[in-house]
Amino acid sequence: MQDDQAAVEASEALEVVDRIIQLCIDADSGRADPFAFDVKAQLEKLRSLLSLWKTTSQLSKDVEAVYRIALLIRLQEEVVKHRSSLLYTDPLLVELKILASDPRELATAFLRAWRPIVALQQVNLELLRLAYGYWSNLRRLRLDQYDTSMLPSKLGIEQLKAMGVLSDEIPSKVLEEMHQELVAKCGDGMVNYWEFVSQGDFASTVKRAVLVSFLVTLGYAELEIEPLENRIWLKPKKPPGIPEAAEKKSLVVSIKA
Amino acid sequence: MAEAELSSKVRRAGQMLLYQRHRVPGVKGYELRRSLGKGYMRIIKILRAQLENIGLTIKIMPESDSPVNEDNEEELSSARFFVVLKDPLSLYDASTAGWSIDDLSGLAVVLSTIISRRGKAPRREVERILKEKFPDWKADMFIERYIRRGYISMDDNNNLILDWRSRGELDLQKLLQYVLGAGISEASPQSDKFETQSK
Repeated sequence: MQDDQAAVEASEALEVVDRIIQLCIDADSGRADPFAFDVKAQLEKLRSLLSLWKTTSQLSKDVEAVYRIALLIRLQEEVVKHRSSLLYTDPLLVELKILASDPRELATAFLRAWRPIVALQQVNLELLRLAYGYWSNLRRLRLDQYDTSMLPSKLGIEQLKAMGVLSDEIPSKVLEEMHQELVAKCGDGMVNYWEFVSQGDFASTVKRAVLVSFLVTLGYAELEIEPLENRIWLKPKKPPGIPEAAEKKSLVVSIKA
Repeated sequence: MAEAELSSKVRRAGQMLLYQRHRVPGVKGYELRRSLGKGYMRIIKILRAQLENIGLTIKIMPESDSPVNEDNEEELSSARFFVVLKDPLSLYDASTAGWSIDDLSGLAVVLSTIISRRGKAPRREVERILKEKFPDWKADMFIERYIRRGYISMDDNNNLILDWRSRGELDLQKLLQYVLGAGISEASPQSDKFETQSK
């Protein structure tokens, strides 16, 4: 009998917690005023209900309610900051003003605060010359004459070993030589990854790319990537080493034959 | 620095700033440093003075909302530099540049609604306000266009937020001020210009 009564009390209390969570969600999503929520009173309520929780799910509900209240306090702080900033204006006032103004007045107001960016987007003779050179050197692609052996395929480890790209063990001397070459080329600066790796034929390029990946993994060199310009820079590390708090990242480099 | 070297660097900086190399116009501080070397802010200041003679200026937009300290090149390495008009456009000039009055007023409505709601407004709310004055199809088209041009963007919860172009091209505080004062004084962009000059 007592157990039943306790269960009923707990279920009613859970409804109260659900309501608190919902109020916090409404305030967070802008459907309710965050300051309409009495943080102190709701926390007191949660404290008084704490003795009723027996199961893990009831306790996790309670934890969620406390977490939501913490988020709401952060939201209240943001609102106070915004209201004290120069950008604060009552949204309702802005909306009423917008609806009362005609488009021409709004356009004029906008123009007074607007300083558009000036940028050029045009091709010059030098770019045209480069583009023409690129076009002239492009291999002709005719699907009807397409050699199926040219299609992309997978190279197995055995094939890479046969090409001399991979070996069971990379001699440290080879790596040292490559590190020396990198230091000589870069000095205090950096070198373009493709300039350093490309060696004319495909096999040598792949081999050098593999060796560079070892240099980077072992902490003898580092890569700097400019995603917008799609450029990769390589520079030697002085002194070589991998920091303890280093972030681990993988980089996929595609090499075309 | 020799005068010839200085003027060559000023020319190079001008080309870098004006010629659009990425999807977003302008260049980052570290790109200027790589091309012009240390002390690039001196070159930028000279270029700015030259551009101001023809009604343009250089704006520096920091990555965060913190104020710009033009003397600290390290801090500026992640800031974006670009060229903007120094003075406001007139309605006539804006329309010849392809902006209709509806386009401009729609953008004013969208931006001021977002700013007044702490930098984030549900798209449905913004559309509702736009549809008070414009047909439904036009309100949708405006929002898509402003997103495409980089004035606003949409987050995962369908909220509209300010994007890079709004922060780069607009004085947001003044925009709100002017929108609230719209129609009260008949001050045009041209008269605003004279106001600035007389100061």
